[in-house]
Amino acid sequence: MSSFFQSQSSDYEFILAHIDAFRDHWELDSIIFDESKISTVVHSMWAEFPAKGGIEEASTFKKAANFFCYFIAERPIISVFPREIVSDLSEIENHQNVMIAFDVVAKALDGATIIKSDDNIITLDKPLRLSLHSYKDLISSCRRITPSDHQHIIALLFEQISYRYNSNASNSIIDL
Amino acid sequence: MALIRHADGSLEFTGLIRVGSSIGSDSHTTSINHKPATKPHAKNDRGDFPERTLEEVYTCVNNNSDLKEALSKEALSKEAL
Repeated sequence: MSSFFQSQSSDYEFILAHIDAFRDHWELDSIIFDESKISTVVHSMWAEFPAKGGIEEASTFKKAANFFCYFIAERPIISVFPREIVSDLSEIENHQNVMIAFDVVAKALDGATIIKSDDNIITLDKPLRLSLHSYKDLISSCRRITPSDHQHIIALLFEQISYRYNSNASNSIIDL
Repeated sequence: MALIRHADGSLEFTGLIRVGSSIGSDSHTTSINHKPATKPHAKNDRGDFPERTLEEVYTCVNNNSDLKEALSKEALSKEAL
């Protein structure tokens, strides 16, 4: 039993299991991936984590965003997905890496806990949900993201999608 | 499920085809050089992801087929045009 961002070795296994589970779920015969790039993703998402206090003090959204950006930038999945399975997403450059990275994030955030600054613990008990239109826009918009340019805005995106269905996890809202 | 646990503790994912080597990646330097800057403000909320076995990862990923069905349906309808 382990959780995402518990250790580099367990994260490596967790990511491979998720890729294979994705293949199983989408009924793909096989997925070809670059093993060295998975190692790079895992190493990079742990190294010098971009949040005050490092990885131990980071929110689940920041950790998820860090993984998401490195995975998409490294492009470890070589196989592209066929049109008869993913429709016109197959025409989007790097769709396979964005789809798998987002699936990892969505499943990891389902049941994740947030420890607020007042030490109140909240569980994200409702999974991420999007319309098909928004999902396609997300896959297209994220196809070329990089950690240096997009980690913070992606963390905010995950946070806001999650808060839509887990409103008790949000900080108090103010009018702008 | 295509996860096999061998007696020596190693894992085999029968549906995955590996290329490259897990040692000596050339892309490592590129990623580290592009790491994001730390935000200077605000106290963070902390958080953890749920604990799962690798077998539970398969169950979790297979738990919902709404997206798969929506894309498959759309692909079929576009093919019919």
